[in-house]
Amino acid sequence: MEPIQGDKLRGHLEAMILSTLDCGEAHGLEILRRLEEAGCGLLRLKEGSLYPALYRLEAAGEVKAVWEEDSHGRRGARRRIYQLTTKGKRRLESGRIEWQAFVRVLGGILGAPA
Amino acid sequence: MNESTRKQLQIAVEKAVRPARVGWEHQVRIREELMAHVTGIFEEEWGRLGDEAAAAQQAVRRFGDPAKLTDELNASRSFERRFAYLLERWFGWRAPESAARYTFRLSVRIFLTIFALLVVVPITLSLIMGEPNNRAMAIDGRWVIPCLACAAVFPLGFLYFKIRDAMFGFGSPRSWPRVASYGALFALMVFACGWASATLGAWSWQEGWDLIVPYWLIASLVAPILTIAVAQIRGPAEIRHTEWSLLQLD
Repeated sequence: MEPIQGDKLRGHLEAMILSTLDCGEAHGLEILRRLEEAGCGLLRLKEGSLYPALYRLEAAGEVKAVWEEDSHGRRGARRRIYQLTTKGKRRLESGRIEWQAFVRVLGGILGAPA
Repeated sequence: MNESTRKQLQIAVEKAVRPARVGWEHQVRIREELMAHVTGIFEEEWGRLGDEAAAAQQAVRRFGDPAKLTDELNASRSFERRFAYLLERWFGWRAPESAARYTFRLSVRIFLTIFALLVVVPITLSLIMGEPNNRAMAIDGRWVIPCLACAAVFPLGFLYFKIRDAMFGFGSPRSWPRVASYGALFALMVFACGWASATLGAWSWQEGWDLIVPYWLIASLVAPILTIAVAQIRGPAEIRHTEWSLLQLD
């Protein structure tokens, strides 16, 4: 199967991030690792693009972030640890319901039920 | 990681962040976060490939197209960040301006802004409403305020940068005696600006003096302490922003 990247991912990245953080707080690199693991190696994300999505979620109040206390030898570069807020959990829930409806409808049209 | 590799990773990050239309404080935050990320990728690749140069190239490739990331950063701005950026375009520092040039430009822009608000807008409104208002047209203290603000901002702004740089050893060795000297000069400037304003308001040196002593005198002594506190809080981030902004990208 072809890797899933670019346009196919557009519009779903924020929901995927929320779902990843539902498993526990994480910094950007860890979020990417979880996504790639959950995607069984078929997801191809441009890593820098994760951060604009995180900033949008943060501006919307759906995630919150704190700086880690120590840079762990990365010469001044600290990571921000993201976690889901209550608003983010609600959005994730509604996102899951919408996705299930989307898959059901499209599956019916394409003759390929989920 | 050697210095050359670190610089390569910094350049990759800065190519995405520098053109982003966000305020400098947000840029500082994004840079640190992206630098931590790209360093993490580099360490992964170094562990996998065993070669530092190849690992750095892979890390830059995985990081993605800087131009596309800039567009995504611009698209992800909140309304507050857009507004902060616009303000900064007008009043903020631009690399590679010196402190003197920046504070001079800032003082001119503050003059223009205050002059527009206090003089141009009232006159324009009274003309538009067809009722030329003598009060709006009168040459009074409103014309002096922008001049005083401009005259104060330049030396005080310049002294702030001198204090900050002496505190953190930026551009010259760290020196607390120099901080103290600049602080004393700062206090003197604040006092002089207050006295000048009071004198122009009262149109008399003696009355101006009577107006400002002792309260403005106390304020003048407190002002450099507050300035040092501000420099202590904001200085490291400002200096980091300056260092990144001066990085050669090609």
